[in-house]
Amino acid sequence: MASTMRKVSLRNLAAHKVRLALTVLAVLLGTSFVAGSLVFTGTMSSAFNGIFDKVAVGVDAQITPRNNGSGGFAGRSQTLGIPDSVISQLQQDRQQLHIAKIEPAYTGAVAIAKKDGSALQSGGAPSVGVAWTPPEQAINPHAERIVSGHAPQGPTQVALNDSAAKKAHLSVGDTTKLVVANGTGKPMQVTIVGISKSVADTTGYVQVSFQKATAERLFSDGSHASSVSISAQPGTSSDQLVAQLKAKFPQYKIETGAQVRKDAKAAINGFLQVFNYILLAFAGIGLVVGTFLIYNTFSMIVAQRVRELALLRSIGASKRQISRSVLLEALVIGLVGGLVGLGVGIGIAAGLKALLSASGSGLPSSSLVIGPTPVIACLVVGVVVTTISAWFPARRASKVSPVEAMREGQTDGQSSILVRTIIGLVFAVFGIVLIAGAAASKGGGGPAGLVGLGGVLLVIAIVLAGPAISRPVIRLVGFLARPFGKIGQLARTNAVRNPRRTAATAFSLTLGLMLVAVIGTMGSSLKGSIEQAVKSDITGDLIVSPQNTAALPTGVGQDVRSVQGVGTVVQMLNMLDATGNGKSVNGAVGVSGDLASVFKYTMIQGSSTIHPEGMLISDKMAKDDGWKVGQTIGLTTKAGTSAQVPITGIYKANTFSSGALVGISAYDKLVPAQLRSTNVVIINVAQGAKVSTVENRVGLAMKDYLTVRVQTKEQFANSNASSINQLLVVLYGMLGLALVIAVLGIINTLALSVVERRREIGMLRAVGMARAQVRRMIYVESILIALFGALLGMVVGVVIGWALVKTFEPVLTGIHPIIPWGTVVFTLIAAAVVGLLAALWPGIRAARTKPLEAIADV
Amino acid sequence: MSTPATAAPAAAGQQQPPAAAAYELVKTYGKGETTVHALRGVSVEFAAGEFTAIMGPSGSGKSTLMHCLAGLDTATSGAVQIGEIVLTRLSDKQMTRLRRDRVGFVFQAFNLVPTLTARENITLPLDIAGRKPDADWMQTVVGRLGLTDRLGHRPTELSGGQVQRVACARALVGRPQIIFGDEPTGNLDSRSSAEVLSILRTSVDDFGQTVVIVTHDPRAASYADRVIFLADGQIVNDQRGLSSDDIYEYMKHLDEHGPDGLQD
Ligand SMILES: Nc1ncnc2c1ncn2[C@@H]1O[C@H](COP(=O)(O)OP(=O)(O)O)[C@@H](O)[C@H]1O
Ligand SMILES: [Mg+2]
Repeated sequence: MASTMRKVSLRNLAAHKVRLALTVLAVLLGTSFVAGSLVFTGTMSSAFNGIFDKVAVGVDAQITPRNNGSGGFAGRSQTLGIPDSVISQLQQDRQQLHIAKIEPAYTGAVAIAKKDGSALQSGGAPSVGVAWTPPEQAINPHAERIVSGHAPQGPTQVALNDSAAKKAHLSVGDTTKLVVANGTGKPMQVTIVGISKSVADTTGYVQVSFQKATAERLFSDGSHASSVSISAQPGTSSDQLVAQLKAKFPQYKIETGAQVRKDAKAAINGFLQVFNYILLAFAGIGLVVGTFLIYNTFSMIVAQRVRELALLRSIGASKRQISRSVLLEALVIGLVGGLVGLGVGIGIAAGLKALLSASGSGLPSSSLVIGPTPVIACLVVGVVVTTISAWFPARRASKVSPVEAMREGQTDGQSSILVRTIIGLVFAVFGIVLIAGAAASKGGGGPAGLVGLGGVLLVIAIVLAGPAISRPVIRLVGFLARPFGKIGQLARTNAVRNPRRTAATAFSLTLGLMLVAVIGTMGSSLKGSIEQAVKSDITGDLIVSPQNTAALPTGVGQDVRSVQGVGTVVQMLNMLDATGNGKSVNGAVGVSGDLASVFKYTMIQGSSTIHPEGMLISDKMAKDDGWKVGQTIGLTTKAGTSAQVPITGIYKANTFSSGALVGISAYDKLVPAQLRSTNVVIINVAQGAKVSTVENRVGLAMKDYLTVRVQTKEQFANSNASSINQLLVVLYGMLGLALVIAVLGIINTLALSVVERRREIGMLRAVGMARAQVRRMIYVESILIALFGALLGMVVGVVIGWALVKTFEPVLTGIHPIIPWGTVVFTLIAAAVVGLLAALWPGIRAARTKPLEAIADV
Repeated sequence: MSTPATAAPAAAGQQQPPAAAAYELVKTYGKGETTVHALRGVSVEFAAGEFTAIMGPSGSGKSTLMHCLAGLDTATSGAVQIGEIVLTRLSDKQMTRLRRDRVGFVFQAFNLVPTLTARENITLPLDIAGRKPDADWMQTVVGRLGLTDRLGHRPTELSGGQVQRVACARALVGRPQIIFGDEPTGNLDSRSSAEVLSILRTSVDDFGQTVVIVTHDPRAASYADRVIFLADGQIVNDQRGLSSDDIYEYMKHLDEHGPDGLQD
């Protein structure tokens, strides 16, 4: 019997190839993203590990400043570095500490122009200037070498790494522009005298090597090094050296070379984690939705096979044998889906890698690494998900009683949906209460988490109450079917005929589009709020700001002021993180010029003028820190500088600023020249001057700064918003995935219900329904199901997105929820189109039904 | 009342063109050794306003004949005519339209769309065609069939007899040229069966409707004006005015001796 049952299962699979393919596809969608994310991150981290294994080779100890912010990755330094006194101390104690070599590094972010004069973009990779250390002096003589030309010598000579040189079309002998991002410098001319090759090269990485003296001048204040690497004499271990150094210089971070490599790997893995999360989110959607698809398929298969199963039962098959035969089918499908998913996942990983390296995002180029993890994960996920999904249908199958072989008509699991609906409603109530509560709260991370939890409860509620909701919602969207007359009515009633099935089919759209709506609402709220704020708060005519996240030296301010036709100029400068009276003062900016003339802000107390020696604080800070006008705060930065700064006024926090606005003299005292950088420059054109003319002139004056944008207020608003568009790329990816899965699910459901309704369709054909009408009936049914799913997803998603934005509102001043109607409408239309597409094939099949099939006893 | 006053008598029907007819109809299934000759050259005319029953042993070709006549299936050779329309060369679209506009059906099972109410099922062919049902006629039909207070019900809420009556109403309400029924009472008990048959009878007598049914129940056949006996794909007998006992006897005879025994 057992082998017979297996034969029945396998024959069943073979007999319904289309159904098999669709179900496998459902499994595949989930597993492919699991494999894709694992292969991609596996490949990337092994590639980065390969690179970082070559970093700090031979270094036994590295001294870096503490609290240096994000440091290496083009972030702004918070400190000047390691003072020369430490280096000379080290030199003095060389023998006592068993030091072999001491190698101070001088480095900082730079921008360099390509041959055509535009900035060389490094994507996500660092673009840095360094001091050239000849291999014979370096701790690791193999770390870098000059492959053509010679090492930089004069103050304007540089060596460029080979991949950057290629991308910039620069070669030995070329002269180009270079800007040191931080500090007070101006653009300079440099000549490429050599091409270097570094072990740490990744796609996009830009390394400009200067003679040591030049680097010291450009990247330090003359008495600090960025970091110091030390090698020990033979016989002394890294740990010993580090322990001794730690005792001597407790105020610095001291690590062994191995720790440096480990930190670098950890940092990059954190960065890769973002991709991992996105891909796993896709995998999650794929799997959850796939589960429903598989469940649906197996439910229908079982429903259709009731008679066959009953027959098997009546000839002696046990309940267990029946359910096992269904589960065996699931197992085969799960394995096949897992395997194919692995293949597709590897493709996804390869595609993603190609895409990211093409966009120069600083990823290393290497071949794909496929470890055992993705293979195992894919197969396990495939099998587990499929088996779980098939579990309930299998149980139902085993409950088929032998007499049902003789019974007329379909037994379709039409048991009551009352209980699940009630449980679903309870979940919904809890979900809504959580979300509403969080939205009404003071905001922050906790409430945002509550919104997420509420969202999960709502999803569960949809799963449970979906069948019950489907009737009213489809009645609601059913007006669309009205122009189709009777055909429309038939389609509408068919769509709610089996509410469980309709709900399970629509769920893929609901879940996918819910996420789309959440992201869309957050995106449009951020984008819209910022846009509105730019338009209403900024009164200046032109805005000069750094491209991407690059920094700009302070020199832009002076250069802008000297442009003809420029009126008021206000320069905002990045402050270092500081503490004052024991409270941390982050996100402060230095202000040079009359801010009120280019920017609208409301004073709560005091004058809007920012005194050069004083500062304005926001009402938020006043409240949080308990500071008052007239009070003088002793500010101390992480670089160790300090100043006494009086509070001269309190302003109302707004979208752009909720921190301290520090007067320029106080700023200069607090921020060493080397660490200053421009945040933004806002310009009012002089009376009588034309904005466009001045814009062109400023653009010309700023050209040499390379990574600078000169924009009107409107352009600035748009470009600011465009960074949010990256979020929207993920959104459209999710939308696409959700739609693809939805197509599969709907095709699956419709194809199977067409088979189930064969007789009825035959009868309709007999009494005169034309083929085109049959097709139309299936199309409309499909569109209605798709719209039901989409509508549910949109409503829930927008509510969650709205609530999330509400929880940001108190934290990000001026951000308020904006519903992305455009996206909502577009998505609903897309869902309808998807419904139509999915119905094409089942529709054609249905239309082929012969009228005789109504009467035939098949 | 829009009831046609004259019920066409059998004799008068001979002069009028037939409501439907088959000429030298042949239908074979399969090829080679497994060939089944379902119809072996059947010629028959159905006069307008007459109630005909087709009888015969199981597998004799009754259903096949009816399907070919009704435009549900195509014959291997021969011609079928409904009214003045010859079905032989019709496209699927034209055939569908013909069924919709000129033919009524009552099947043994799966007559009604489960998601529609009785009323909606009755007007279904008209709705599909985009035509408005004639309200008076609808009321007459529904009233005669005793369905007036059942119109809002779904098929699952109706008894078997009521379902078949709704199917009859659907067939009648479009005033088709001819109504076909393939064992329309096959699933019913004798009482419901009698109800449905008398409805068909009445539609012939009072409305001049042409009705052809397939049955193997002599009592059902006795409601008809004319009974055609099929055996092995051929017409072996064609008589008018038979009682149910006559039919029963003849059927028994057919079963015992087979068609060949009859021809002797
Ligand atoms: N689709 C078909 N394929 C093959 N043979 C068929 C098919 N339909 C009917 N037959 C055969 O044709 C003959 C007549 O069938 P049918 O008209 O259904 O008989 P009846 O309705 O009188 O019982 C039978 O021998 C039957 O087996
Ligand atoms: Mg038959």
